[in-house]
Amino acid sequence: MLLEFENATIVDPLHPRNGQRSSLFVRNGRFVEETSNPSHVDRRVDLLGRRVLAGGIDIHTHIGGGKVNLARLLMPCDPRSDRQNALWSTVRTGELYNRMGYTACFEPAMLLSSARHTHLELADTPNLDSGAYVVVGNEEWLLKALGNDCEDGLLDALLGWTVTASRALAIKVVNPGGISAFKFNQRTLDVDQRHVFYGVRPRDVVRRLSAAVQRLNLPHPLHVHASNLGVPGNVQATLATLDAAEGLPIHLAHAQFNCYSSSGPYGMGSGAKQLAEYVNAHPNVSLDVGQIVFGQTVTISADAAAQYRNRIHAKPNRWVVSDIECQAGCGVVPMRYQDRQYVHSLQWTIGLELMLLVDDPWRVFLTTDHPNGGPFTAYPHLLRLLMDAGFRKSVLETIHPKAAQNSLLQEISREYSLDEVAIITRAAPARILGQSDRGTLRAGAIADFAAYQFDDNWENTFANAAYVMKAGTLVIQEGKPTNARAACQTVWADVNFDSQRFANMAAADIEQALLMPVASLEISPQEMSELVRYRSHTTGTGTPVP
Amino acid sequence: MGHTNSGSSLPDWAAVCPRRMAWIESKPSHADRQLPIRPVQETAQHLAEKFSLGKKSLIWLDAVDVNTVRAAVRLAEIAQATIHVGQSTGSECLHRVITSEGWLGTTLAEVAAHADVIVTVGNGILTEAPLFASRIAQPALRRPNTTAADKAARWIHLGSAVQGAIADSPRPSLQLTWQRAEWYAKLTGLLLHVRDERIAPALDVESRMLLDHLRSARYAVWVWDADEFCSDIDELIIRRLLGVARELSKTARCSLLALDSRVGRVTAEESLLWLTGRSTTAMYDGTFWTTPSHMATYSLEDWRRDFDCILLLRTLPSVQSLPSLAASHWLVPSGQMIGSGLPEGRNATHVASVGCECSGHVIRGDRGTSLCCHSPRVGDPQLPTSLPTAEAILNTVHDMLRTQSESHVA
Repeated sequence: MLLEFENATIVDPLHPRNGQRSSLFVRNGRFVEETSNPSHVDRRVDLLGRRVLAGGIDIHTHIGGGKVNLARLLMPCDPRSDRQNALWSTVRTGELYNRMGYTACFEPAMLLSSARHTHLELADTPNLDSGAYVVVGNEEWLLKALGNDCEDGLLDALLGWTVTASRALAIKVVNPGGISAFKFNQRTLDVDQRHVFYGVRPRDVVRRLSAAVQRLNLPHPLHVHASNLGVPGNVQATLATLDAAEGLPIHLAHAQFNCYSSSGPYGMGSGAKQLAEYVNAHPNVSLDVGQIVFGQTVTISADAAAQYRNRIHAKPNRWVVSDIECQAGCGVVPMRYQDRQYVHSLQWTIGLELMLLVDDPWRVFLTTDHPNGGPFTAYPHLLRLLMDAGFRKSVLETIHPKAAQNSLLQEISREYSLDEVAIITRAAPARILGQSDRGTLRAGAIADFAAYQFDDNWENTFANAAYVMKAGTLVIQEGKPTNARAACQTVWADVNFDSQRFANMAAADIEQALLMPVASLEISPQEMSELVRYRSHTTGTGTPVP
Repeated sequence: MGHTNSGSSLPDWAAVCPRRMAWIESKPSHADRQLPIRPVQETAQHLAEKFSLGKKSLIWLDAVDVNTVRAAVRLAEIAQATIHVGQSTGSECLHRVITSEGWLGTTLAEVAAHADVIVTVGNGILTEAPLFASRIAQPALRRPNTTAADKAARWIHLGSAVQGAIADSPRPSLQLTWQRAEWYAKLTGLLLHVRDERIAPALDVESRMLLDHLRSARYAVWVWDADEFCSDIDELIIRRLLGVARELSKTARCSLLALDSRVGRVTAEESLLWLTGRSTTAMYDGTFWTTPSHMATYSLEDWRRDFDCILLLRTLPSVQSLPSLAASHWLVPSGQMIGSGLPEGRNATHVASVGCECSGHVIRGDRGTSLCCHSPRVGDPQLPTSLPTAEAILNTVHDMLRTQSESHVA
């Protein structure tokens, strides 16, 4: 069946007709070249007056896995309200993402031992392709190997097996060494400090892992949740962490939370200028911002050490911090960001400063680190802040006056163009994840798109897409859900690694720590397609990224 | 349940779980009926009649895998039914504590690797998780010190005296024989001492010994079976354990592990939670999933009285007896003893057992690991291969109800 979406105003910097009115053709779930014979078209939809972008891609959002479920328990949602004060079910999450025009989301914190749980939740988030990054950097066996200065071959085998077994797309390191140190009652671990037991420094972990990611040809750079998250003055640790990659590609997650100077009112200020200058000068570095949004949310993180520190700020006053299976931890702490509170206001300004000071839109990504900074449903509001300097200034006046006075936002007049929005929310995420058939409307790409009718301002425009297509299936039509279920996929990385070396030199340590055979942890492609991706809902199979 | 075996180096005794052996060795009694294998359509037709629109229906999840829950949720949506995870009183008690104040958790591998003081609370953990003592608590006593500052690990048991049938069965290094009625008071005394010894009442000898061990620990853990604590008083005991853990955590590490041995129940709670936003009871009203507050205190009698149709689902092998629910229909795994006095044969159906005849996902009782229970190779002549899965039956019922609904609209 050939579909034609005519009179679409193309917004895709990679498309030959960017900025022009044109038709998009879809067959078998993919965009195809324009047909020379109009009679071949089976169905036409008129998108006159609508700006069409590729489906949105969120590269860092916590929507699946054990700690997400724990947050649902801690903060049960009111099903009759979309107001964010809790975490939604997987089904509702998919619906809300689709409403904004998003068609792919990536869970950034998957543990090896609960990878199945993560993939199951992602598969139950309808009409979204998904993938996950496996958390490393605090496993007992890895730190032991790094502490023994293991050879690169062993490290590659260990990481290659971990990515393959968990069907991960990428590797993420969270507070390198720091979560493990907390289990030994070491409460802080700065970048050049040594782990009390394994003797490894976070710098060493980042250096060796970023090199291993390069050797393994993983599509996405090492995804880093840096040390000292949330600590005043931590921008220095962040710059040291980025230096540790020694010029290799590295992605800094939720950069706002690691961008504080120690100067300023109440001993805390913005490090955004410093970090942005570093990013602008180092083309190997990318970051997603982790913007905060005022209001109630719940923070969830594998960084149990940081969350234990944060428990005193919990609002409402309940929280969970846990150690998990010799790999990492988890911490769930409800948070209420208030616009009249200095630190929260400062955080708000820092996120926007980063987005506006980093020059290259291909290396900076709009996220709220959902739900840590705020709900993903705030993206339309954040886009308006980026695209409309006048609106931004008006909101700046409503926050804590000291944070507003000292913020660079007073001077920044930059406004994101629609093309830049398409880059930071579509094309760039696809590129940095190695997904060449996403994030674009070009022929051959997966037929994911969102069509927007401009409505008074950019926030209203992006909040409700008029049409959303996922893999050739319309899931939003004339602003309303169609209740159709599109064929969705879990994407993972196809990694070559020395399985014999893994079996001989690494498997025993893992089995000793986890008291189970490593084969129990290995997820096969068949398992993904027959059990994880529920047959009755979807027909897609997992797609390895070569 | 079956697991793939990679021929790992784990000791033989660690591979044999007494509960698993009990399932394998359990044989249907002469009173049990062998249920005929019915076509999926026939069973589904019978269920569809029960679930037809207008009837108040309950799907009772007893011990299930993830895909069974998924299918149950789909069916409940079209039938506007209620789903309840059976016998979840212990979970609900725990959830009330977790969601009202700060909680410090841990998982099995962490206990095995790090804990230098393990306090098992109640005998449930020893009977319901029979390998915990031999694989984790006992070996901890033999583990070399992890850092120079560590003292030798200790396993302390609070409950009835641990008795082993054989000479080398696991034994704690300290046995506290407090009466159950004393636990709350003694733990309160312990908490007061941990907070401020100057104003706390004097401790008895055993409590003092326990306190000394806890205070000297680098990583202490309270471990109990999730069903150990179910009542209101029990909830207060959990709060005392948590209070001690929170105080000790200010200077060392102290965590809690409520280990649920009923993997199928844990799986049901977790998957129901992510699908509906509700963890033990979820009612679909046509638009939203909610948990009616009055159902939080329902007894078996209340469930029986309140619903016209009750479907009980069990897809994981379990030696636990089936609840006396007077269910309209049972879907139970092959090999499950039905027993006498239960409904007529036509109201119970054997389905493929997860891990034996079909594969399925489960979440372990410490919620730190999710596993796939693989079935043996397809075509094994020793296994009945014609059994339907519960998922297939539920999906067929769903399709029948949808067709019925569409024809009504038409």
